[in-house]
Amino acid sequence: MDGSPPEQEPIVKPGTGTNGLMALGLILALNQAPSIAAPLSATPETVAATPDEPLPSPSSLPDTSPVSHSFTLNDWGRDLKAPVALLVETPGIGGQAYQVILEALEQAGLDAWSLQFGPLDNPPAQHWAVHLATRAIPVAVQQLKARDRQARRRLLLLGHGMGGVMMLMAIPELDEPPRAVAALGSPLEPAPSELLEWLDTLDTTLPTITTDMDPSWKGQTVSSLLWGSAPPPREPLPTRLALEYLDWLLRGHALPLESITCPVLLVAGAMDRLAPPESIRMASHRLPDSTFLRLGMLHLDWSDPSHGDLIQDRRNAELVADWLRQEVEP
Amino acid sequence: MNPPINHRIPGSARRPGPVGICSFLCPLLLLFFLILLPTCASTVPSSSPCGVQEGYWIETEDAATIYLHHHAASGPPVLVVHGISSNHYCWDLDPRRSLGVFLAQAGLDTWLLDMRGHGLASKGPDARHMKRSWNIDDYALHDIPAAIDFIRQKTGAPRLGYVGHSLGGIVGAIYASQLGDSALYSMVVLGSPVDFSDPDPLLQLARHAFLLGSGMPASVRTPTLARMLDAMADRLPALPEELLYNPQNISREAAMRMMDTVVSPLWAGEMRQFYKILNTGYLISADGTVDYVQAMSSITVPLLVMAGRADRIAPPDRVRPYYLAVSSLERRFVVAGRENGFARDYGHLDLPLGDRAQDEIYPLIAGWLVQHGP
Repeated sequence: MDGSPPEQEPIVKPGTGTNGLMALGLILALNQAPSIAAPLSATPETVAATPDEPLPSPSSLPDTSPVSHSFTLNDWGRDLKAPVALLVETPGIGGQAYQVILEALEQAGLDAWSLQFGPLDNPPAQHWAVHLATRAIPVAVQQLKARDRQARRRLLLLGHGMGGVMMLMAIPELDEPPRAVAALGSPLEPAPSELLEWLDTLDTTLPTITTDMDPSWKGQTVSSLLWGSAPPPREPLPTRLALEYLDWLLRGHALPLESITCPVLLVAGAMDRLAPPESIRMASHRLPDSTFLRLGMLHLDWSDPSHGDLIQDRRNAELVADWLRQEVEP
Repeated sequence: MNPPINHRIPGSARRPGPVGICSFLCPLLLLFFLILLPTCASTVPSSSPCGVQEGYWIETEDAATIYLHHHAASGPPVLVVHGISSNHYCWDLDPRRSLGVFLAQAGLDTWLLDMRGHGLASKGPDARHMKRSWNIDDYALHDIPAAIDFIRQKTGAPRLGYVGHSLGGIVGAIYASQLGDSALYSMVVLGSPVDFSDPDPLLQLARHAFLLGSGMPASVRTPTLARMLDAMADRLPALPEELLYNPQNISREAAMRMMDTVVSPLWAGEMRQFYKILNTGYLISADGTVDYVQAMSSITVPLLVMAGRADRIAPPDRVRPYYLAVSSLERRFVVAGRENGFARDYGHLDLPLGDRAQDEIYPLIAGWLVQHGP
């Protein structure tokens, strides 16, 4: 692979300087989930993605030649002949944020793996972009299949938030369609809100967003709006990545939904303010074989989930894991 | 006449079924709400708490009776329509919770409608002729035209504004799509769902309740049952009321007053039509031949659609298709939730009656109607 990414202007907003509050707003809004104390017990294997053919990219961003985006494949521990469930993480989120749902996958009898992007300095942060990082997914799938000598296991894919969007983008590029797919809190069309529009006006010129402050918007902290009482983590996020995803949340992006023919479960949280149910329901009809599920009090036995609750709440995670397991049962 | 409906619900046969132990209890609670609450509210106050200046019983072309409450002002007229199992008091509960007063003070000549069988309409001269077969189509294709014709005749104005909550917004869409929107200059709808696909457990329960209700008398007026509900009120979980409104957004006192005055009977005919709607997933006519959402593409009047983030009856994803279905060049979709600067996430009944509706909801309605006036 070519280790030197092409010269490319980073996407930054004009401004007078870095505003820590603004930066944190982005990081909390777009990329974070509360940390979980227990560490991952995975055995990471780091590889780099350089697909031969570039994926289609949104018209709003210029495509470039393939860029190497590093990632890690984490095996969650089970070594079975069980079907593989690969979770596509959102770049910048610590792997521990997915512990609950990965455990649920394992408990459902699936061989859980996670695709974790990073380290974020390879390529340099200003070159990270959603549509470019997406190219890592087919490479990761190839590597997983290479490990399976008998090649009998069909692949299940799932993703949360931005990771789910990237997963859906990548599916048409796979050699073989996955058996089934689950996207949790992944917007299929824009659902603008004043909060997101406010975040879009924030100025930041740093390639990576880091801060330890929680911005306030109309008397409410961004973290409380998005995560409720759960504590926000502190991890860096490439600014370009955050701004690109924010642009999609506000103005939409091209997803090849019609060409995804496998069964797709689309999960929305009733109180998800990043990917609200209205950004998913109507567009789900464009998928040939989709199931839309809004979690919340309408299900009468639990409260309305926020964006983070979709992967952190064990009942939600078990529901998704059970659905995936049912899809691979004879 | 529109062609027959093609049923298209991709993947409808494959969905998880996360129903816990509470849902065992909830069909019972839902039935209480659908059947017993109208009993509690069958007594409608004889006078408005908000100083309505005049009211009119009007006979529709199919010989039913509607009632119009008038908050007079010198500006263009506005027809305001209540939701299912409700009446005009959802717009006129008290001086602080009165869209009627608010719009009149904004200069709009405001008319609050009691559709047939609701509110004072059920106290009219033809009360003895009330029919259990009345359905949603009757509201949309008879009551709304009668109200509009009366107001146009009374005021001399060629066009009206239209405000509808829940079913009131749905019948507005049916009226405008079937009879044309030329008599309207603008529309505002709050919490009006038009997409009933992918039924969640609540909708599935509602479907069974409507099926049961469609075979029962028009309204249950047994005082014993009402007393049973009252006696059980303190022992019920908070769930039923949280389905109807966000308790954080409406005071207990107002909620009790609301439940005393705002609820009107559910009619067997409308329950039968809702059963068909929930069974198919489509907003269809009572005879099943017209898909009203498809027909809504003929609507071109400026449209503001509002949904409450915490609305469990009409969640935003079921309301947004209303906004998407019309062809209006000027249209806006607003989710009343904290991410849009609202103090609280609004539920179904707090959209018209919440503690802050006067500060957060009414100004949006009045502003839209004034901005998109005749």
